Amino acid sequence: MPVVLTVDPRSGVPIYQQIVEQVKRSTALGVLQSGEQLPTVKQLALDLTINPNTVARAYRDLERDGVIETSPGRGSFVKGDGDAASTRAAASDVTRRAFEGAVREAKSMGLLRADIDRVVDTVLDRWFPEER
Amino acid sequence: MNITVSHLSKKYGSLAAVDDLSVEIPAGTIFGLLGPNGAGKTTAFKCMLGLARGSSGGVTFGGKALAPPLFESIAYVPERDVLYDWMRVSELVEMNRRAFARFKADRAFELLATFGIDTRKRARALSKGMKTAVAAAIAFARHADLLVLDEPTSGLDPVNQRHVLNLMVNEAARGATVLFSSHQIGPVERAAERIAVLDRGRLVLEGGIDDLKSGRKIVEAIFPNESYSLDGIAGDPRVGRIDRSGRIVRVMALDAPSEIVQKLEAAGGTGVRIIDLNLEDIFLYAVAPASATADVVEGS
Amino acid sequence: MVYVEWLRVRNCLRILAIVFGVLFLGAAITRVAVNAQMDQTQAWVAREIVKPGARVSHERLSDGATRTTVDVPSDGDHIVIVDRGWHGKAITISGPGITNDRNANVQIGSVRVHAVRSTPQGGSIEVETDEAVSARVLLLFSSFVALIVGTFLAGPLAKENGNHLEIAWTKPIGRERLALGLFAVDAVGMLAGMAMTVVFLVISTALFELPRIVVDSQTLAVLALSVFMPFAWYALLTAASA
Repeated sequence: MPVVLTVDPRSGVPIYQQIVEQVKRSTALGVLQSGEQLPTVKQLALDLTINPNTVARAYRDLERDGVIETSPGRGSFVKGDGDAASTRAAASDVTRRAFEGAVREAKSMGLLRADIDRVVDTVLDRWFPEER
Repeated sequence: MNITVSHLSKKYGSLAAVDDLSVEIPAGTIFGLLGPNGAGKTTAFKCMLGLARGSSGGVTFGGKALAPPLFESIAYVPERDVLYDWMRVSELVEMNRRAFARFKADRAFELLATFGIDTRKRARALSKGMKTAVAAAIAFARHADLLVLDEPTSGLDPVNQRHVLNLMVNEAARGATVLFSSHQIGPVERAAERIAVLDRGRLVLEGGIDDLKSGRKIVEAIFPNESYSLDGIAGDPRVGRIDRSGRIVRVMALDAPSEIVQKLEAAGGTGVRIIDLNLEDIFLYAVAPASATADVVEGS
Repeated sequence: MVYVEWLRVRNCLRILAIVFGVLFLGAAITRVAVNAQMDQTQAWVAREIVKPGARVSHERLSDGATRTTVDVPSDGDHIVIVDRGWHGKAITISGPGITNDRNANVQIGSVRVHAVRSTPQGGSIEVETDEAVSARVLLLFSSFVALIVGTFLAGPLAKENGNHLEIAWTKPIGRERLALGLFAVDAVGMLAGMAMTVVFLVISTALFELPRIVVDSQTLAVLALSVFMPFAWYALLTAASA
């Protein structure tokens, strides 16, 4: 696998979640191509010096989310037919997570939906000027 | 090999070194036993392995009570003074080869070489860290079903420390159960799947590290003025503790932090945010006397 | 664990071997010194024989030994040498030329030198190279050495300070069996120490003259006692340290 996963065990984010997010991000960015093989649970555990069960848990979550598929005896592979749709789905997922954090914070500061809507529009206008 | 510890106790006079410890260690996990110095980690290991006289309670290994033949598949490495100072490293390997049918001398020499240890040396000529490494290398060559390692990374440089952790991962990947203790958070946070925290002989926290990290969060809220009520929150069993500092409230959520967020918002809190806790924070909250941490929070 | 005890026994016996080696070296040096002394004695005898008027007679005794008698009338010295071949020699020298300032009766191995204090009429020296050596002496001496070996090896489990005992107890072998194994190894060590002592004594004395070791009716009892004593001592120490 060309992608080098890294984990920060000292973070408050669970390690399995770090792996899940990194693999999702890598597939969204196309760094991980569909059909590409992921390292075995043991190999990744040794590479990162983390518990094999933690890696296995991350792989289970990724499989449940439809990002990878595992066939016994062969290993784990990035799912998808290589079409744009699946890549977009993964990208949307990553974006939504980032967005959710921002919206939660905004709401807790007392902004209303209409206020947040306006903020989003401003940001979108800046990044997609041609679609204004 | 799973381990079931039930109501394990060991008293020195009136002082309980291990106080009614019950814990289940599932097979194939790397289980970290954390605790401040003198928390009873070493004593707990000794009690489990039948090495402490006068302990009460029960321990089973893979459903079986401890008996000498079981030690074929249990590798125990005490914290220090493991090696006979007057023996050569190669003789120590030979000693293990004779004592354990499953011991692989080749593997031991291979591991010793990767640790950079001259096997012709006598144990007394080795540094503290090297002695730890020798004991570890020999244990990892045992091909055991259960490894009980007391402070396996103490005194090791970062490279060899990582090496030992990697060997633990390797054992777990093979299906073995690894139970190890540490007073340092780092190695446990990295390699362990589950932890138990001992404090003054008592089990104060137990669970999967990732589950603890997902569940345990600090939820912070700011209230518009100091007259606010936390009635619905203070009584919630998922709330560990509440620290107030003027208009700022920090709530330790033991589980389901998003629901605590909702409750705080309902109570009129603004700027509610979730602060992640790493294992060190969780550990400190578990072992520090409540007042001590509260003081720190109040003072900040 | 038993292996560790083997190593301990080996180290102990190695030290014993070094001590014996040093003593043997001392014996060898003494042997060379004695040789020089013997050369002088032989030269003296040779001079006596060629003195004018010396009478030398050879005689074959009934047991096959050869007796050589030298009489030197000029100074009154009298030498008798009984050569029994493999069974050693008995030499008696007497006469006014022999001056011993005191009585002496020394035996090293099978060699015994008996000197009688000189009177104005002269003195005499008897040398017997085929004196009987009782096996008892050897056994008691080796028993003493085994006692020392036993002192070093005793209490093998008590010696396991700190975590070594835990290493011992976490082996797939019962504690009783382990203890018995350790005691057996130590017993072998003590017996080996005894055997080494006997061999050392025999070889060292053989440097001078092959000792004639006599086994009598009491030897068996002494052997039993010699083995029993260090073992009892070992058991005592082990019990005290447990």
